[in-house]
Amino acid sequence: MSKTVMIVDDSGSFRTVVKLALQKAGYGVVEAVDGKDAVGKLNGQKLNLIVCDVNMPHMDGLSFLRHLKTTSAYKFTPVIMLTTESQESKKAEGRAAGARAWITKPFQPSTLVDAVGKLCV
Amino acid sequence: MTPPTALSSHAPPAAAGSPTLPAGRRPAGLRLAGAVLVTLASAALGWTGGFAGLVAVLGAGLLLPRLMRGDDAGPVAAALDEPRVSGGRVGAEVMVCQVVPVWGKQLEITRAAANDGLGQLLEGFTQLTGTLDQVEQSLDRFQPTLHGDSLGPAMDTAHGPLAALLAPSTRAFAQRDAAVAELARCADATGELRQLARQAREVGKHTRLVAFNASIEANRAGQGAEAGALAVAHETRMLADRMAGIGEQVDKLVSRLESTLSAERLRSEFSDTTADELRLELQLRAREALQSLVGALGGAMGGTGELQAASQQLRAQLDELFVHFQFGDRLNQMLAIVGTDMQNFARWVGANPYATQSDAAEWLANLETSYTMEEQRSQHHGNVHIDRGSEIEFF
Repeated sequence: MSKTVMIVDDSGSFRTVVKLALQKAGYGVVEAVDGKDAVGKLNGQKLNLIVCDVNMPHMDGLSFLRHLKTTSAYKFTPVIMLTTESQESKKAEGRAAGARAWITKPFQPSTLVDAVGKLCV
Repeated sequence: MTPPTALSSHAPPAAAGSPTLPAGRRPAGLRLAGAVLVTLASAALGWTGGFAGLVAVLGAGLLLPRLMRGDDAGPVAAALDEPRVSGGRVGAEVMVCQVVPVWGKQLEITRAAANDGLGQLLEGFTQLTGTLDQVEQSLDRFQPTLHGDSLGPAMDTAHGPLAALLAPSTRAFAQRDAAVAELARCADATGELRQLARQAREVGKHTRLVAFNASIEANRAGQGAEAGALAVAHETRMLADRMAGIGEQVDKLVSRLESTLSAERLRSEFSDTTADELRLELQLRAREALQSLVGALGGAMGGTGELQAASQQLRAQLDELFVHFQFGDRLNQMLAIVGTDMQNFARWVGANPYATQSDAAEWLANLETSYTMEEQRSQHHGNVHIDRGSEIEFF
């Protein structure tokens, strides 16, 4: 049974790029357009990893990450932040919120797939 | 990614309390407009110079500085040097509030067109990737068939066809063996014929002896019976001679037949290439044919390897294209931000026609806090060097 990764990004094209890369590597993919949409799609389903943007409408990535860590079913689900943000202060926020890795856009699809492979539970 | 815009993330500087500009002084709001637009347009152009959508932003970058400098001889400069009042608004404020929204709309149209183009581009890449996946899967399925580097398994696999190939020759060998056996039996029969020939010669001898005795007895019997007895003796002698001659001829024929059909000679003729040797030779021929076939398959395998290498190269190029595509996507996002900021800026200038230097500084500071990319921050300070650092950082 393939592992499932949730992609949270308000850019549809970015979601497509990430989905293509992960599906090619054999992962199942669930998409969400922002943090709020992601919360609504959790539904207790098994997620092996979450790839999340930072700057999004309605609920940003860091807020979603903090919410996730308060949820018993997903508190240990690894989260990779995938964002244009490269400021150390933002990275520190992500680390404090419980992110496991920080990938700065633009990225090589293989970099993401390698990171997912390392962190996927 | 939708970062907060400059004015949506904080309250604009209050119009009330803004000092009234002295006559002839250029409004700080216009200085700010030029600076903001030039900064943002430069940031966007830094990635994809020549992008059509930035024409509007470039226009903003070119015209607003001229408005700020006031060294243009046109009517706008005149309006700046000597602010006119139109409908309760200062001239420059009117310009900003009316022109900037138009640019904003053009920017939005450009952004939408770029977004559509990127979407179609991505769809094309998606289809190309799907096709590439199918090619790679086909190659993967084909590969195990070609990896048989040993002929043994191939021979085992081809046992049925090889047996069918050997079947006619096997039947021919069986028929030949049967013929040899029949000839051997014929050779055995010649012994009996030789025996008959010997008996015929013996009969001839006895008959000749009988004829001789008959002629003696005819001489004794007298003149009358002599002629008849001599005739019988003569005929008997002739029969004896013929019998002996037949025996000799049979003997000669048997000798010739024996020399032809002798088992030793038959065996010696076929001993040069026995049936087993011929079967082995046929198997070797079949093996050579199979080797030739495997060699051809090996050539095909080599071609498959080249195809796989080309496929991998194409995959790497696609990955690179996806990276470039991300820049396009980022540009699209930045255009959206610039458009929103322009509209907010026009509204703000309308509410604050006499902005101060501190208002401009506050605007710029708020713009900076809204940035989400190093390119934006770098261009904001006029520093084009961007240190991206590591693409990934594990915590």
